[in-house]
Amino acid sequence: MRKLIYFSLVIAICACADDSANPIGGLSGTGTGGSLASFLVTNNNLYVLAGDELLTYNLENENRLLYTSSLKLPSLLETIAPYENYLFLGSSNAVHFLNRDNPDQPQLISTYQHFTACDPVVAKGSIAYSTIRSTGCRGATSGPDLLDAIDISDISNPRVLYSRFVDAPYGLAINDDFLFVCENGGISVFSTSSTNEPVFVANNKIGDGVAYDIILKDDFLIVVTSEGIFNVTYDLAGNMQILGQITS
Amino acid sequence: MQRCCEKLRYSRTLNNHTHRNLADMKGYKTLVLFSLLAILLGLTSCFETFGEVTFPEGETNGYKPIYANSEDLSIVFEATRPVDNAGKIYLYGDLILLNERFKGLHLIDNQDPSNPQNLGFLRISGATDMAVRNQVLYVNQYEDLLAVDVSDINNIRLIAREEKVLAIDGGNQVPPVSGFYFECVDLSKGTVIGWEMATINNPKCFY
Repeated sequence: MRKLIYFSLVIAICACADDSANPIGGLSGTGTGGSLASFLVTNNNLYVLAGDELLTYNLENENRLLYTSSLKLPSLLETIAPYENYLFLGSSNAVHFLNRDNPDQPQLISTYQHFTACDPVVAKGSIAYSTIRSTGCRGATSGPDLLDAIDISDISNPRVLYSRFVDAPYGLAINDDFLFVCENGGISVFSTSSTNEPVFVANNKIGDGVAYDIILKDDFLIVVTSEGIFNVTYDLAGNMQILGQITS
Repeated sequence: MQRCCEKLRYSRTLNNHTHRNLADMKGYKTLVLFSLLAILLGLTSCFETFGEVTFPEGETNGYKPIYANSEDLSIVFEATRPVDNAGKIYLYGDLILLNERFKGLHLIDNQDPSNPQNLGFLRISGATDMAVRNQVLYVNQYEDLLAVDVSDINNIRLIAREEKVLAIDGGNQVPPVSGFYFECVDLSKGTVIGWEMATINNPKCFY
């Protein structure tokens, strides 16, 4: 019995030491980026945006970076997001839809053109949502800031369903409840349930900074702002509450 | 000074280009409306923003080029530091990686969302984006792509460095974001591998 207690103690101490020394060490698998990410890791691949090129690496051998392909596209690439078997690339004047039937060598399916602007993309069902920000975006000193809904039920022929003005949008995220858009300094909440048209529900300031991007986590949002990160909950009226934060 | 004026003209050309693109999109009634509005807005901002760039005397905030060979490229896990210039985020389990632009990654334990804990700072100069798989961190260091074994945070092992793969041809000659003064590039100091926000003196360039 005493041995067992000693043993448990040793294990407990090791576990504690492990936790503090190796914050990443205890974890496996892949993580999740925000919608502004330019790096994406999937099962066995790393996708990286480099100027107007998508670089693909195979990671099956973890002790090396095996370059497998690059795909040149006609515009400056800014964001990458996975969706089903596709990749969505936001660029300076278009959203590119790619397939990864061969994950080592993604192929271009179609392109949705817009103005010169910055534009992350998310999707739910057969609709992709993209914010198109001209404000403060390289190469787009004028032009509108928009939230576009794009029908991708036929991904080889993306069609705009709806376009609405927003204010200086950045990242966005979508779940079964709402579409969340970093906009106008805070987070605008849109309902997408009834129509193709995102219906504005509420705008929430998060602290005193400007909200840039969101990662959805179970029942709350992780928001990065110019001040740092915030954990935020929301109710079905779209009102948000800060749970915790790390700021300067 | 001449360079800067060329840059201003470049911005104007881009505006015109944008307008031409807008005019092409005749199919959508709404878009045409947007176009008209955009052109109006565009013209106004053109004259207001670019007609009268004045350069401030003395110290001001702006972009400063980072030259190759002047940087400490080692990757070290350090004590926590304040969040100063928050960049991208990455969630790995309950661990948040928060990019401090061009400096490294804050590691934040988010197991209790009402009380997130700042664990420390992984110093990686030039870092602006990242992803993690099986305890390997993929991150950029300026224009290099790195694979870093972080299974033991106090004994970090560089697996691979793909040099210059993220370089954009000629893309480093101006800052990554427009609308800022910047310290003009002096090529005699070496190649520009990135930009940082800093206090700069008597800037003579603007993008």
